Amino acid sequence: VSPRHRLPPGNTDLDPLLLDPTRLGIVSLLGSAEWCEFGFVRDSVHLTDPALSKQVATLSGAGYVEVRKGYVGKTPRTWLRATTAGRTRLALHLAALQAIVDGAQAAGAAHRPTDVPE
Amino acid sequence: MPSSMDPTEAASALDIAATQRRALADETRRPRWMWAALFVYIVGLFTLEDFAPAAARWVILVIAVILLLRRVLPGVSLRVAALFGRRAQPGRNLLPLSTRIIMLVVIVGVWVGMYLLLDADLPRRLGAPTWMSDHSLAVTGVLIAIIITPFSWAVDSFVHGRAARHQPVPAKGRR
Repeated sequence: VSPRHRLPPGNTDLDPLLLDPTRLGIVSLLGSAEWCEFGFVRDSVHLTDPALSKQVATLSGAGYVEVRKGYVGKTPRTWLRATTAGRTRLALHLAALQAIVDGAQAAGAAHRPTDVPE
Repeated sequence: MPSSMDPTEAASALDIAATQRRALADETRRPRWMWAALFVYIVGLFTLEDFAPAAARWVILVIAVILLLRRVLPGVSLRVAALFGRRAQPGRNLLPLSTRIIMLVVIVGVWVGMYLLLDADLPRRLGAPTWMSDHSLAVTGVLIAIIITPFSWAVDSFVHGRAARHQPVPAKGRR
């Protein structure tokens, strides 16, 4: 059985933007949160500030992430949150990924011999 | 739009999402030192009641208000949350509103219960030895701390552990 197989209809929910592991990590983190500070996201996904800024700009441009800037005292801060569209796309993407894994497991189970000759 | 993906790649992508969910659950979890502080606080409070009854009630009220404000205020604005050292706020899919309400009710219930137990004089009522009855409130405090601290820790671990494992569900009607 080829590991790369045709997917069931539900897998058209795979999101091209979230196929990138870094972007998937960022949206997964933000998708579980009400909001996150830029620094926390940077530390969690192990990126540099410029690298995260670039990914956030891409996600923000696609409407997946909302960026809010402000000050705490005199220190500038940036907060990130997943938009409703971003959360929906993430949920559909994860469901599609789960369907692929479940499909492969079901296919593996179907090809496993059930009667072992004595 | 891609129409196929290797199952191994899919499993790996699911791992990435789960790792980030766990990172957020860990970040929003209460720090470990808080459980030791809770134990010391409960015992100290009841011991204080043995020596300065009026002061203990004020301490209960003041600390309860501080803790409630610490929990509620970060939700008011991002700046206030930053002042409280919060780097992330868990979302509804991680900690549903019902869970938050239940946790808040339990916390308030515990405070009210402790306030009422100050008058209960448990060791004397249970017929404990004299040395215990002489310091009945301190003994009550130890008993309550022994029950409440692990219980609170277990509830926190359960809620955050469950939240970290929970995968977001697609909104109805979108598929």
